[in-house]
Amino acid sequence: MRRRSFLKNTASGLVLPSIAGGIGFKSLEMTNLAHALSLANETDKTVVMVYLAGGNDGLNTLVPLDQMSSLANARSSVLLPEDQLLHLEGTESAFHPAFVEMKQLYDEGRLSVIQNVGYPEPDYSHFRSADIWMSASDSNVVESTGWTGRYLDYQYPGYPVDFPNAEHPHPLAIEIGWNSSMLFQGAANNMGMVINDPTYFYELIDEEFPDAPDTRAGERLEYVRLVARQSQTYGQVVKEAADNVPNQGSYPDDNWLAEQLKIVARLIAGGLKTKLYLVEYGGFDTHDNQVIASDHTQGAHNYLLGQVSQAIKAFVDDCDGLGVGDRVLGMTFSEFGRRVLSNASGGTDHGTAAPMFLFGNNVNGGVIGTNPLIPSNIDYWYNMDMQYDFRQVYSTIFEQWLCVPGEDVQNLLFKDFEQLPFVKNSPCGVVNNKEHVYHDSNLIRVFPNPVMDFAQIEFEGTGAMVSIDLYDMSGKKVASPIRANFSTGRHIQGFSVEGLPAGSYYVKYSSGSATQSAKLIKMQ
Amino acid sequence: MNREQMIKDRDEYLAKLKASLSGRYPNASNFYENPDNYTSSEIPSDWKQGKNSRKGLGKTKSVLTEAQLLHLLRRTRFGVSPETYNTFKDMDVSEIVSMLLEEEEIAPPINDYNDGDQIFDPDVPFGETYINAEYNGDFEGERTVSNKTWFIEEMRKNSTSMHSTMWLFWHNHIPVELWAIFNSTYTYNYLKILHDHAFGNFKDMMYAITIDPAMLLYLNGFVNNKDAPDENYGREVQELFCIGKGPDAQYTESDVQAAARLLTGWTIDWNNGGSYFEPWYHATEDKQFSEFYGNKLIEGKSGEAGADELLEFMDMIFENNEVAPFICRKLYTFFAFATIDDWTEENIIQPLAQIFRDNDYTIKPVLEALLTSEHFYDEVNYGAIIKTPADTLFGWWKGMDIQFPFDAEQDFHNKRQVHRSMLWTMSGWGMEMGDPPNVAGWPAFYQFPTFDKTWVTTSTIVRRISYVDNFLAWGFWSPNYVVTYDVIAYAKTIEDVADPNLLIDYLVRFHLGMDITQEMRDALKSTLLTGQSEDYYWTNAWNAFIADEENEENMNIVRIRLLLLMNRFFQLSEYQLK
Repeated sequence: MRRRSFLKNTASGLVLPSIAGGIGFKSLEMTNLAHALSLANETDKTVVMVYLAGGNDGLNTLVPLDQMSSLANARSSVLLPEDQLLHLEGTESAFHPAFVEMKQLYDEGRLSVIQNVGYPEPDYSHFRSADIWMSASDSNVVESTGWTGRYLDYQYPGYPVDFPNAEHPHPLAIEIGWNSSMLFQGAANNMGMVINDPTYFYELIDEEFPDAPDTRAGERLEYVRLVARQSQTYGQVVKEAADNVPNQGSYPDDNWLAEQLKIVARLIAGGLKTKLYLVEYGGFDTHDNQVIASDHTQGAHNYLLGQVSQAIKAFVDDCDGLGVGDRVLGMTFSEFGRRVLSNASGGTDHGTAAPMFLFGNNVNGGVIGTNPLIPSNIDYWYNMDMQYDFRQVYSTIFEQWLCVPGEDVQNLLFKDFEQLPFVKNSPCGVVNNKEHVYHDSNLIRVFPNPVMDFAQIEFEGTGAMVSIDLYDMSGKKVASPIRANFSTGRHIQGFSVEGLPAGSYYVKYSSGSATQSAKLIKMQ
Repeated sequence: MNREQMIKDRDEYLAKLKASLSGRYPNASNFYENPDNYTSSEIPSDWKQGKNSRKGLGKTKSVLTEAQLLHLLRRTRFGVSPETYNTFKDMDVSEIVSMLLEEEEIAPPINDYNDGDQIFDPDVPFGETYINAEYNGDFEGERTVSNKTWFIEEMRKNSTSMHSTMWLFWHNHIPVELWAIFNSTYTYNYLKILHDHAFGNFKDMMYAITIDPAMLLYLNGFVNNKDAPDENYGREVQELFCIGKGPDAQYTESDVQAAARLLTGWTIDWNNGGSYFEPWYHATEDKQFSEFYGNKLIEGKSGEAGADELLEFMDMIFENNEVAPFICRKLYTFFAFATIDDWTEENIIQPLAQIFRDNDYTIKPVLEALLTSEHFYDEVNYGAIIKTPADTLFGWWKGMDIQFPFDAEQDFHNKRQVHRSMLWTMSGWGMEMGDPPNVAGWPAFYQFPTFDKTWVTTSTIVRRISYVDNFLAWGFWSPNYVVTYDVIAYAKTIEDVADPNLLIDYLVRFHLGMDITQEMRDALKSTLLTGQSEDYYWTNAWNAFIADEENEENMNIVRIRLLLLMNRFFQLSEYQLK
């Protein structure tokens, strides 16, 4: 990590103020250190993350219209009536009827929908999967820091010592609610400030202290004092920012997500330089009564999506009205989608991939990705394959919206991820000339496609058993061309499709718990 | 009973709970840290010789000073009540420590959640234990909360034993998240194993924990079978529980795999509860371990004999030299100081480790050696740990001698409700009892280099302080009662309360982790004197009150001044240190 190693190399040479040595907290002049460190591109862009806690049912949020017959088989107890869905023009997808305002954003070109977002080897535990999304780790790695926490570590090394300062007078990240999530957890500190009412802050008694003694206890004492003072200075700037915005656009009543987003818009417009915001809205764990049996467009999920839709639209419009709409990029995420097969309680159980939504004036409106392929006869354990890794979205936000140089993005996310074309007018000068092409993620690729006689399959070896099976559209297995151990790395194997009837097939890759499908079209 | 159902019941309960607490319910992801970073070899650059202890494990003088006794009790008892202090103050150190190390009996948790209104558990009579009851999805949530408040009560109550402190130590070291399990019988069993072995034999505890149903669920042991081994427990039993990631912990990935295969077959009995060994799931081939374990080969066994491989595995682990120093480092960080330098490793950790091995991994002699050593009482460590949420919360209750406004022996429902409120309070401070953030425990106990500093954030510091402020102003709210604090009653327990200088001196000695300057003492006194310059204003006011306690006006004069003093005093950052 470039700036980190810079810091590390110079820490002994530069005047890194020791905590015990009495830090210059009270004076807000820019220190030499802060100056030396202001290397990265600064941007006034903000990211607003909307966590839909519980696991949102992607298949009933963004319905693949070309899969309706399979869906009718698989999830009859939650299936939405096709004629009431909100069709997205130019696609074979449609929104849940509650997504009226989201549909408006889509029509205005201010909503980007990314299909089938997940990660390899999915975990079905709320706790663990939420951690994976927030830390951006592989599913078999326990990572302690949040993906945005690492970004803040990188962007503001040394925090909290000498913060706030003239250059960075505001909280680095803000979370609305009561508890800090791991999202803003850096290697050493949680960099987020938790706020539930920006106009209120708890004022502590302001004492003057001499420096603490240079002892073990003195070092701890200075730290506690530092954090206590930060709670005051940050609390005050937050209040000032809120007070700068006496009037806002209209928001729906009785909508907790809208209340939170209203605070976020107020703080952004009020002049906070804070770049990252997190809001949370729960209740998506719809194991039962997701829908009402007599009318599947009603029920818990309809309520939740309606709240989300109204809140996000109100927020985007309010940001526009307050003149900050171009600075805000919003993103929804949820720890997983839900099981394809509905259960006996009018609900759905924990699943895997689901769509993500990015919103704001500077997103490329449209749908990225293809509709999932749902076989017609699936069992309870069948789960959606992912098309995009959620870290592709994070990577795009880092490089194209927050202007983090490419090699640093890779360090922050531990790996290189192919970016997605949802950012418009990148402030970082990243030119987005990619079409809305469908990037298969990299486990399997079939070519040529369509194919007449002989197909090539390129796939990832894992050092373990790899199975590649061919299914027809009814979900019947028609061939199993590959079943062997392959060393890690790319492999290409050919197989003949001459004997197959013309039509669409899908090729399913599985190795361990990693699975992925690709579409194959056979021509005569 | 099945796993899907338990998860469903849990999520439903938590959703309702969350709604009832209007969003104040803890996010399970409060703090996350990487256990890989735990190492004793890196020393912060600002380390100075003068700040280190160079006193060894030799015995300290038998009579403890007041400061030494308070240091001992703060570190081992979540704060010091006047009663506990008085019990110990005339004893010599070996007596004190042997009392601290006395085992406490603990009765199982009971149905204290029936509220006569909304909640009525038909399977368990009010006042009787639920630990043998059938799983009941409608009540597992309440029972899980009661498992947690059961734990909290042990930490909160005044006791001369540090049993509950060691209970917390092991819960952090070998964690299970109670909400992740959502089966009160299983999580009770888990907590009971830790409690039963808190001072006892670590090897026995590890054996019991390895096949404990809650742990089998938590780290996927229940799905670990010969056809699809799950390495989760096989890894953590080495990396987090027994061997660690120290510089000499050289176990390999193949050791993890071999451990996972050796453990196949241990699973949950969904019909009858509990765990058992299912030979059908067990991988029967020989398990080869690496050079780190002396190239140990554990012969594979089929049938019921496969269960015995676990015994051989435990023997192999505990023959390894790394177990003892790993646990001793963890104890040292918990009780003495976060960071361990080379001198301390050589002169404290390694000798403690030898004691641990010599006593066949019984924990008590190790604690005894540490807590009676010159090293432990070296002043460089006084106040050098930031209080945990447990220290801050229970320390306040103990230090202020706060009593329930009802008969807690009889009214155990309301006692539980107060403890439940404490649970949410602690959760807001980053430490929900029973639910550490992940399998590595709370980062304050392992995360280099910040350790205990991770407890303090711009949010938690304000909550910690405002908790005390609110207590002084109003009291502590639980559903049916407000627990108030009688500042007058507390002041009366202070012998020299009439002298403002001695009063402040007493508060500093008993409540702060380190001394404050004379200027700050003077400032505090001016608050007590509300601007008056002469000490006798306070002395006269106090004496006038004592002379006629029925006189409300006189009482209010001292009460308000005491509250103002307390308010300022407990905001001092020194109060956050232990």
